[in-house]
Amino acid sequence: MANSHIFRDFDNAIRCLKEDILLMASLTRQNLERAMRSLLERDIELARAVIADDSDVDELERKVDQVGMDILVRFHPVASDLRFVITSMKMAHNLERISDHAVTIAKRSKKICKSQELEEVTMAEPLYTLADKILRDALTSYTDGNAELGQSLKPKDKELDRLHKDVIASLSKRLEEPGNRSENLLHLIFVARSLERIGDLAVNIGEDAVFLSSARDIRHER
Amino acid sequence: MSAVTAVESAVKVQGMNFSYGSSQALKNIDIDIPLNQVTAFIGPSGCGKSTLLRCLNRMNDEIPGARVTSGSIEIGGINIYDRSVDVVKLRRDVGMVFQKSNPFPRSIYENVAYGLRLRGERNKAILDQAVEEALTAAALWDEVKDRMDDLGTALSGGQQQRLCIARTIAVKPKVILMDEPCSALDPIATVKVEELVWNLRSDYTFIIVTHSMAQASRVSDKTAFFYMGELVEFGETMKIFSNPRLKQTEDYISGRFG
Repeated sequence: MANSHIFRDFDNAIRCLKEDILLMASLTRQNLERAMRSLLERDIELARAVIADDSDVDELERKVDQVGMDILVRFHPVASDLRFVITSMKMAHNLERISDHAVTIAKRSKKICKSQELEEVTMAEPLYTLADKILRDALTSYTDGNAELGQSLKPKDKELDRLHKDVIASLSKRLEEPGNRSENLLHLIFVARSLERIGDLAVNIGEDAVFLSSARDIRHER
Repeated sequence: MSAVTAVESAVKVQGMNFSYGSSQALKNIDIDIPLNQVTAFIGPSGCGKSTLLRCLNRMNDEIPGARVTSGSIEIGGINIYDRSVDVVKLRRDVGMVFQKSNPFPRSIYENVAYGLRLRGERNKAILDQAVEEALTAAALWDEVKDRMDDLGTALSGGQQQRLCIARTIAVKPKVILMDEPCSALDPIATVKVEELVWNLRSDYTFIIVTHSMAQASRVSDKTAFFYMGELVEFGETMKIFSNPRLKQTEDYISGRFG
């Protein structure tokens, strides 16, 4: 897509789509980061902000779909242009779901923060670090057209799955211990679950980035 | 016709160069047009796609100074530029539908029967049947069966074009060449012609020159992209329009030419 299109408007529409995706990606990562910080620093206000700001991401998802539809209807894009529009619409969907998981984390965090301090929250931190790394790499593979990077995410997601399994096992064990922490431990299990799902959704984004740059569909490959 | 294999070619062009006087219009063209499929020729004006199309039934013979300077075109295993080739018979085997519909100023019936009569067919029953078959195949029979004596030129634009297709297929050609067959038609007539081509391709080999990328992607199995007299890329239409091999092809089909 290096040369400019004969319709100047087409280039504008494509640019608009890309900017919206980048904005969505940045808001989504920010929401996730704040949700985690609210959990680790017991900051209820931050959790409330994440829940409130999710609507911006929802709105952007609608806008990306609208602009994508407009481009399909008006310009009938083909080849890499078509892949770009389709990939962007799918990315918007995945980003919106990631932001929803950030909201889930924020809601659980709010509940955990209202009770006495739970030292196990730090167990979610490595999960977050890895999930965010996968997400960051997936987004880079999209913006840089780096198929190799997009393709390299599955092993990292496997590692995230393993970490998640360990955390769940450890938390489940603690659930059996006497005391009144079980409700908060359950909230934390849901946080871990969301972080694991974020890894999966980020892998989807990486796969779409591979399709965008090389027209290869690597989904469901082992 | 030779034995059918999985990817038998209907038209085989090898190392062909073509010039209008001193100006070379086609450069070293190699292309195998598959049998019973639709092949679209695309490219900007002056790229040579229509010139190549017109070489396939030697329409260019009529232009002074125009000639194939080297290479060959084989249709059904015969080099059509061989001295022994009967050009009239060649044009019966390789029919053509033009940009502007051009029915003869005669009745609908006579338009379709014309080629058969020219071939010496006199039997009314055979002619009747052939006319009905050709008009049915061209999806026009139901619209004209009660007005066969009306002038072909009195039909609507889309119907006239389908009448020309019926006239072409009445003589059972091997290959049908179409030079921008829908450029003068409205969208509904265009869809009818495209559907017709798609449905008839099990019986005929179609080669269609079009400026419409959408039409090429809708109607063809294979697409060939030409630029400045050269065949740049030739392949499955789905592949060309989703992931072309060359940047030049991508730039053209996605509207980034120049």
